Amino acid sequence: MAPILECINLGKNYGSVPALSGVNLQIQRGRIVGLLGPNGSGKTTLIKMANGLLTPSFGSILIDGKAPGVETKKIVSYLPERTYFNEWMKVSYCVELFKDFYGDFSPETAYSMMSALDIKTNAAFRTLSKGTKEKIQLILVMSRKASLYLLDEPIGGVDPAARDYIISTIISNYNENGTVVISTHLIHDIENILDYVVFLDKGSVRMSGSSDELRMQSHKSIDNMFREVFRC
Amino acid sequence: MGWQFNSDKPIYLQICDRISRDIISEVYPSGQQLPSVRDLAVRAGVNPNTMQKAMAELEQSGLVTSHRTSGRYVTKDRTMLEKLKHDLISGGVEAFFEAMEHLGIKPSETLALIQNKLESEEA
Amino acid sequence: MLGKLLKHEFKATYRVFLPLFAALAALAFINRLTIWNETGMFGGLMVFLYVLIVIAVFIASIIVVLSRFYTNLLGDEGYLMFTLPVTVDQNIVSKLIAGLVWSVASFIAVLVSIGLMAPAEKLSYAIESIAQAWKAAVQVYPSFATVFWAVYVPVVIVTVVISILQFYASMAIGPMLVKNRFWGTVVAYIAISFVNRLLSGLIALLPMGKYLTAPDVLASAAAPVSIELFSQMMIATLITNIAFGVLYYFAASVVLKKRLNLGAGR
Repeated sequence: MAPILECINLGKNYGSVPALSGVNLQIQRGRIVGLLGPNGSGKTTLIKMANGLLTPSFGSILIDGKAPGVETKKIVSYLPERTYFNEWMKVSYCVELFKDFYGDFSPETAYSMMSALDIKTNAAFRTLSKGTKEKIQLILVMSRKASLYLLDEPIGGVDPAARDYIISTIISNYNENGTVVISTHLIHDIENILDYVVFLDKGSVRMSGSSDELRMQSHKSIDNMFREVFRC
Repeated sequence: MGWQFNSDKPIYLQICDRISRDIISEVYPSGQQLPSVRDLAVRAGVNPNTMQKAMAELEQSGLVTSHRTSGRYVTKDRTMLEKLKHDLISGGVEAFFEAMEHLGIKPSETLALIQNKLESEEA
Repeated sequence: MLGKLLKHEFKATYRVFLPLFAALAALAFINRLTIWNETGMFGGLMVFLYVLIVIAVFIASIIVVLSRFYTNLLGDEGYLMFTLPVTVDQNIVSKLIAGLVWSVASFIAVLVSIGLMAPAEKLSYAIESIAQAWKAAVQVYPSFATVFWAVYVPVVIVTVVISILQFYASMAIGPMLVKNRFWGTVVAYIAISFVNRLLSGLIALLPMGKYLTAPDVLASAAAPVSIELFSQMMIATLITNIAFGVLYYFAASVVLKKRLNLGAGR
């Protein structure tokens, strides 16, 4: 079966600045993958391209063998770093929006997760704290039965309890036919859930492989490996 | 949240160790149904695939049996559980003595330390 | 999918317009009572408020058209809109249609409110005069009705669409000219307007071309020639504007497909 995400010599330049320089990558289905790298390594650029938000300068990126477009957006669930809901929107409206556009979205799952957090569904976004907004976005994204989840820095800048919540949510909503790609530079908190890791440095792949194998070979945690590889 | 793991052994094997200990200490008594893979994965803070591998390993060893529709259960085989308990205990004792030796403490001194500890606890 | 986008467009914007329309109706009713009688300062105040609301409706329709595109598509909400399983074109067209509908609705709302201000007798008198004027026009110019509905009204609608598209194109192209998104849009809009006026003006003069070599024909000022000339110039202007409209649409569409850069130029 075709890998769910494939980059073939993928490159992106912002003007004369190369953000990605010839990335070759294949991500198989049913895995939780860590896209690891320091800030500016190209993680967000790669994820935006998988979503069709940026077009490659050269090379190609394929989701389930297809170029990013309407068909791939139906099977990709994306959590960007930013909140993308208007401050005046109500939580219930956002659920309705997801239900309208995504056939694989389950409002029941979303509502039950929200009630577990005591979130009032007719609350407007502007009345909610930053942490709650982020959780709501995560809940909506994870309430879809997508083939590929792209989570861009889901645990950055979030308190430890929230971090735990996010990691638990990812684990419990994970479906075996789906692949989760988590981009982050905070590896310690997340490495136990990663099957496979990709180290991205200045726009190209430094290292990649099964996290268990890498740990066995080097007798180090992924976090320590990362610190060594990216030592300033 | 999440169990602690180190980088000595693959995570799934460390999970096996942890669950074996939990079985011996009756967190999961003999014959008891285990939580689902997903629940355990959330508790342990690990990938469900990893937890699945650990479960498969435990099934292989016979410590855990799986009933297709109702899930996984701790074995009712008392002999096996006794053996496991014994192995874990003697393993622990071995490790303790090795650690003492490593510190340069002779076996007779170690024995004395243990006796002192027991006496002070009884008092 | 376009239908769903439209549904959400209207849901996002009706809270601006419906209260304004309600205020319009309310003030029209009040003025209907006060204008025709001597109510002094209070009456004056009511007229003032009414005019204020009319201006507000006008401003609201422009602001809504602009901000729906600028904030919802090009701001952080763009992360949502462009990852929905819809095409870029569907996103643009849904905003365009909603913008057009609200513009037309606002216009009709103001007309209706003016009608509401007149007491029954004056209103029916006004309606009768309009009806008579219409009949007279039809007598002089038989196809007046057809021309009105088939040509004049569509032209007005097309003009509204084109002006909306000009804003969209400016917002799309702006950041490519000037790093800061807001000023880039302003610069692009001014530049586009300038080019548009220039080219439209030149093209409108083309029909005059054939008279440059025969100025005496023009000087004789034969009525049919002038009217024909005038309509040719109108048609030329119209065609130019439509061409620009199409250009604006493609500019916005292509830029959003190829050069979308969410989060840049703050």
